[in-house]
Amino acid sequence: MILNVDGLPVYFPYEFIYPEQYSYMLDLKRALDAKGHCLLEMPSGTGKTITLLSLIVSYLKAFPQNLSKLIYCSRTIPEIEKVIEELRKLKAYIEKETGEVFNFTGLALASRKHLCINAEVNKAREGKLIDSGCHALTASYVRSRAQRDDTIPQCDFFEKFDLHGKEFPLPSGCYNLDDLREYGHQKGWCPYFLARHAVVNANVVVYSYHYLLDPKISEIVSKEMKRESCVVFDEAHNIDNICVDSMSIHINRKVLDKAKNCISTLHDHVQRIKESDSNRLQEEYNRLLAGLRQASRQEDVVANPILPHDVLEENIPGTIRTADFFVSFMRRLVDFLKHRLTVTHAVQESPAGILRDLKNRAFIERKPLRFCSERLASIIRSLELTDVSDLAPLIAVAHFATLVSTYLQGFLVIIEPFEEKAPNIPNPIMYLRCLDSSIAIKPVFTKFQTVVITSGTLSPLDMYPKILDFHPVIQNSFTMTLARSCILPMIVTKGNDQVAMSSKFESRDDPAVVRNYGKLLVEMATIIPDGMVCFFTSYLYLENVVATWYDHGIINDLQRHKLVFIETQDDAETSLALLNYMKACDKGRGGILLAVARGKVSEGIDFDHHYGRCVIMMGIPFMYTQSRILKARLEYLRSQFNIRENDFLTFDAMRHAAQCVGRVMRGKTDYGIMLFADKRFFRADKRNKLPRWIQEYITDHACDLSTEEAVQIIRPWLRQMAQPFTRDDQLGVSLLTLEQLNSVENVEKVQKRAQQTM
Amino acid sequence: MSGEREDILLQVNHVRYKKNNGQLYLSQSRVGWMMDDSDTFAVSVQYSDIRTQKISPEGKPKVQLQIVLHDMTTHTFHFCTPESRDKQVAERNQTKERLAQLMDKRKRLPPDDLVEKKRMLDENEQLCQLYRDLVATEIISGDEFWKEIAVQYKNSMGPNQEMGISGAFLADIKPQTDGSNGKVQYNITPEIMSAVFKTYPAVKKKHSEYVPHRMSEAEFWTRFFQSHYYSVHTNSGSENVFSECAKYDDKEWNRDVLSARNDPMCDLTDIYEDKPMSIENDIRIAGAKAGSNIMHATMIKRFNQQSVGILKAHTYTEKEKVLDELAAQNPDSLPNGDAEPVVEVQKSKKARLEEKISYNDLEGPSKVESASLTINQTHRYLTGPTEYTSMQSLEPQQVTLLQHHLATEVSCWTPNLTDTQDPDAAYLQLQRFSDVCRRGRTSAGSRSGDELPRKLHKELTLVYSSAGELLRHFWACFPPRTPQLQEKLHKMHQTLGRYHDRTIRPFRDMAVNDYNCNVNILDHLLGMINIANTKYENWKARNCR
Repeated sequence: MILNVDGLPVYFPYEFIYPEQYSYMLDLKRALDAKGHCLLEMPSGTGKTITLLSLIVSYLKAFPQNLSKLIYCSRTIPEIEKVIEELRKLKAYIEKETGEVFNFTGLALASRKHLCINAEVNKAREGKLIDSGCHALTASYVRSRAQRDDTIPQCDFFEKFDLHGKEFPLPSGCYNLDDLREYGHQKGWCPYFLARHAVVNANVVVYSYHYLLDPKISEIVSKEMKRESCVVFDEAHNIDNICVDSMSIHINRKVLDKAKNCISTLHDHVQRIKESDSNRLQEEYNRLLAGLRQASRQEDVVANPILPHDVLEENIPGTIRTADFFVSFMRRLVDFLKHRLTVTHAVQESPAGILRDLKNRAFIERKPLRFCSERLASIIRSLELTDVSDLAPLIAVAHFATLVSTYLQGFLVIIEPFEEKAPNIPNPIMYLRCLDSSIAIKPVFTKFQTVVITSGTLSPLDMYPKILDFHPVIQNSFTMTLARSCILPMIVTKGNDQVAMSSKFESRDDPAVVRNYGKLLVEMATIIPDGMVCFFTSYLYLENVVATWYDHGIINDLQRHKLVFIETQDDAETSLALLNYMKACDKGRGGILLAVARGKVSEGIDFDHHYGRCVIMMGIPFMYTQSRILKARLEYLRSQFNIRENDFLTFDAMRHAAQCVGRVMRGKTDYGIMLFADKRFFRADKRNKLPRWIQEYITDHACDLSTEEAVQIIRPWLRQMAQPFTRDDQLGVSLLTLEQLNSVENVEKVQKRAQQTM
Repeated sequence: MSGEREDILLQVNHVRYKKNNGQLYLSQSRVGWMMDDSDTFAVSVQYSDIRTQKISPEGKPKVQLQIVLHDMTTHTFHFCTPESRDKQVAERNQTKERLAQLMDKRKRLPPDDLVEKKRMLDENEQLCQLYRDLVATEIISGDEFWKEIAVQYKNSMGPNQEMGISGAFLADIKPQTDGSNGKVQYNITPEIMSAVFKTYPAVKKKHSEYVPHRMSEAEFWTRFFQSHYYSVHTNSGSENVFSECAKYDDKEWNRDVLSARNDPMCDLTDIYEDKPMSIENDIRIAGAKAGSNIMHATMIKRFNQQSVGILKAHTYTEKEKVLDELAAQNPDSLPNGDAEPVVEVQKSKKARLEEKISYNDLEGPSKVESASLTINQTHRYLTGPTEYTSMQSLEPQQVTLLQHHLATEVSCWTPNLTDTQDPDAAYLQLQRFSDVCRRGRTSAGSRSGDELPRKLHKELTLVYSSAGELLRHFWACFPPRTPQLQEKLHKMHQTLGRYHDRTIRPFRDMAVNDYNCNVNILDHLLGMINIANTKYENWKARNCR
C-alpha cells in the first residue's frame, strides 16, 4: 500500500500494516524532518526493519535534497543479509507501483572474509589471514614492484577493478554479499573493493556496527559519507558496550613478546633499506617534516585510532621522526610495558599516572606517544612491508600509546595478574579500558544529521541519552496492539514446595533451587508443544545445573518429552546443536535448547513460531560484578553521569533478559510464552525496567506464581492459541488496511496511543 | 481343563507347588501346573497375565521359579527332581528360557499388530466398511482379508512411518540390585537394544564383532552400561571396548560440526564481523573454554551427541544405514563425496532469507498458490516439438482497426424487436412451456423411480463398493499364470458367490419388500457378477481340458 505519513507518500510493500508500524513511521518522519536524532523502541517481531526501510527510502525518494543516504548498521551478518532482502522486496514494490525503474542502489558491506573471491587468498577461511593475504597482493608498493617484476603475484580481480571498475557506478539494484560476489565473478572485479568504492555513492549501505563505531575502521570506510545521511543502529540495545569495546585495548606478555619480535624485524628492514636505498627513508623523513596530514594522505594500511583534528595539522615530533629513533622509541615503550606487567596483585591507574611513570622511567614524553600509530603506519608504508597481520601486536601497542596519551578522561588502565576465568594460570594483562561509551559514538552524532537508535528492548529509554551523551528529538516506546493475547509473560517465583527460585549468588547452588528450576522445566516440557528455549545466566551456571540435573534424573525426565540440546562454548558445536534443535522442531518431536543469555544464541537466532513456543529465563542475567573493569565503569558512570550502580546493573540485566525472551515472537500470528523464573523479577524495580510491550501484558495474577500455578495458566492459554486465527479477527485492532488508516478517527487513535509515552 | 485342547510344549515332572508334587506344563498360551493323581490344572495362567518371572539365587538350597502376575499375586514352583541338583537347575533354566520366549511372543506381537490393524481401519473408512461387509459376515476370513485386500491399501497409504526412538531410552533401563549379594542387573528388551543400535551405529558394529565370539551377550551389555554411553560420569579414556566407539562418535560429530557450518542460518561461528588486526587470540592463553569443568563439558557434549544420534536414526534410509555401517567398520576413512554442492546451499539460503523476512498476516489474501510444474527432463521440455502456429498474425494497426469497427458496430446496433418472431408461433410455444411446467410440478412426488430414499441409497453405495472391490480382486487375477493366482481366482470366485448369496440377495429382497423398489435396481451389479462368473466358467472349462 502507499500510505500517507504526515504528507509523505510511503511505499509499504504489504497490503496491511500494524498500527505500531504506522506510529513508528510518524515518529521517524518527525525526526528526519527535524534533522535530529531519535531513540525508538518497538516490540520485536513487528516488522521494524521493513518499517524503517519503507519510510526512509520513501523519504530519500521524495526529498533527495534533504536526505541523500541511509546507513543501516546491524549487528550480525545474517541480520545484514536480511535487511538487504527486505530492501530488495521494497524496491520491487516501488517499481511495481510507480511503473518505472527506480534508480536506486543498496548494498551490504562486510570484511574480505565474506567478499573475497580470490581462490588463493580465501582458502584460508580465517578473517585475519585473508586480510593479510589480500594486503600482500594489493598494497600499492607491491603493485608497483610487480610492474617491474613479472614474478610477483598480483590479484587479478583487484587489478581489473582498478583498471575498469572505478569509472562505472554499480548498476541500480540491491546487492547482498552473495550478489556482490557473483557480480565480481561476472565482471572479474574484486567485490570487496568494489563494495568499498560503491559505498560512497550508494543510496543505502548496510554494514556492521564496527564500520561506524570503531574509529580505526570508520576512518577507512566511512570517512566520505555525507552529512545528509540517516544512520540507523538496529538492535542497538547493546550499543554502549560496543562503543566501549571498540576503544579498548588489551595487552599481555605474549603480545609484548611478539611486539618485540616485530620491532626486531622492523629494525632489520630499516638496516637493509639503509644499505640499499637510503633515499627512501630520507623521503619519508621529508614528508613527515611537511606534516602529518600530508603523510597520512597516502593509503590506509593501518588507520589510527581517533585523533583530534588539530593534532593532524602538527608535525611529528623530532624524537620519532627518523626510522632508527622510532624503532628504539618503540623498544623502550615495549620494555616499559613489560616491566609494568610484572605484578602480583591487581593495579588500577589513570592514563595520567601511566604517562607520568613513562616519563620518569622510560623518559618518554606525552607528545611523541600521541603520534605513535601514525608514525608506525608511515614506517610500514616506507618499508613496504607486506604481511601487516604479523605486525598486529606492535600495532596494538602503538594504538595503546596513542589512546593513553590522547584521552586523559574516560579511560582507565587496569593491570591484572590473572585472567578472569582462569585464576590459576598466571597471565598478567594490561587493560586499557574506555569507560565512557559516548567517546566512540560522538563523531557519529556530530557528523550525521539523523541517527536512529532502535531495538526491541531499549527500556528504560532515558538511560541511553545519558550514557551516550546525546539529545534525541524523539524518544518513544511503542506497545504491541494485539487482537488476542499472543504473548504470555509470566513471573514464576517459587517451586511447588514454596522454596523461592532465584539465581542469586547465595542461593544458586542450593539443591532445592536447582531442583525447582529442573522441575519447572520438566513441567513445561510436558505441556508445551514443539520447541522450548531456556536461558541461563552464565555458561558456568548452565554447566553446573546440568550436572546436578543429571544426578537427580531430571535430564532423563526431560528426555522423555523432548530432545535436549545444550549450548556449548564451542560455536561450531553449538551451531550443530541448534541445527538439530530446529530439525527436531520441524519433525514434530520437539526439543529443548538450553542456552546462555549474552551468548551467541541469544543474540543471533530467532525462535519464531514452532521453534520457540516458550522461553524460560532462569534467573536474572547480571554481569559478573566482581570484575574490576565493570567496577571501574560503574564508578565512572556514577561520578560522571549520576547513574547509580544498581540502576545500571539492573538496566543491563533486564535488557538482556528482555532480549532473550523477545526472540519468541515474529508477527502477530505467532504466539509464545515468556517465563521469567526468579523471585527478583517480581520486584517493581526489575519489572519496571522491562520493555513496555512486555510489561503491559504481565497481569497481576501472573506475577507471583509457583510452578503448578503457571501450568494452570498455560494449559488453557495454549488451547486458546491453538484455535484458528484469521485475518478478520485482527483487522481493525492489530492490523489496518489502507482505508482504515485513512479514516481520521483511526489515525487519531493510533497517535493517541503513541503519544501516551511521550 | 479350561478351554480347548492345546499342544503341550514343555512338560516338567517333579515340580512342587505349595508342597504338593506335580507337573508343570507350558502350552502355546498358558502355563499350568497339575497335581499328581489329578486331571485338572490347579494353576493355569495366561502368559499375557504374567508380569515377570524370578528365579532363586545360585546359592539357595531350593531351586525355584516364581512368576509374578500383573495383580502382584505370585506362584512359586519348586523343582525337585530326585536325580541331582544340577538336573534341577537345568530343568529350571530350561523352563525359564522357554517361558521367557513364550511370554515375549505373547506379550508384544499381538497387541502391536492389533493396534496397527485397528489404526488402519480407523483411518480408512472404506477399508473399514469392506471389513464389516466381508469379514464380519464371514464371507472371507480375517487373515485372508488382511493378506489380500488390506495390503493394497497399505501400499497406497505410502511408506509407513517408522517409530522414532524415545529420547529417554537409556533412562528407562533401571539397574536392579539383587538384594543379597549386591550384584547389579540391567533388564533390557529388544526395543532398547535396537534403539541403542540405531542411535549409536558404532556400538552395533562392535556388537557384531564381539558377540558371541569374544564375549557373551550379557557381558557386552554390562560393559556397555559401564561405558560412557550410559553413565556420563565415566571417563571414556579408560581401557574399554567402547573407547573406540567414542573415537568413532567424535569423528562423526566433528564431521557433522563441519557440515553445520555450511548452513547459513544456524552458523554461529561468524555471525559477527571480526575486527581487523585483532590480537584477542594472544590475550587468552587459557583458551576460550577456561573455567569450565571438563567433566561437565564432556557430559554436555554427550547429551548433544545422543540427541543428534536419535534424530539421525529417525531419518536414515536403509541405504544410508548401510553406508554408515561401512564407515563404522573403518572409522579412519572418510566417505567420498561428502563435499556439499555449494550451489544448492546458496539457492536455499535465498529462499530461507525470503521466508525469514515475510510476514504472513501483512501479506494480502490475493496471493494464490500457483501449481508448480516439475520437469524431470528439462532438455526434453526445452527442445521438444514447438507449437505449430498456423494463425497468421495480424498487424497491430489492423487489430486496432478491427477493434474500432467492432466498437462502432456495437454502439450502432438497435434491436428490432417487433419482427423477430411470428407471434402465433411464439404464443404456441409459450403455452407448451407452461403446460410442461405445470405437469412437472404436480407429478413431483410420484415420479421418483430413479430417486431412492436416502438410507437405501447409502446402503446401495456400500454394497456397490464392496462388490466392486471384490470384482476388482477377481479381475486382477487374470491372466492366472501362476498357481497362486489360480488359487486366488478360485477363492475370489467362491467369495463372490458367497457375497451374492449373503449380501446382495438379502439386500435386493429388502429393497423390494421394504422400499417398493424396482426389482431391476441391482441389475447392473448382478450383470457384472454374471460376467465374472461366465469368465470364470470359461476359464475353468478351458483349463480342465
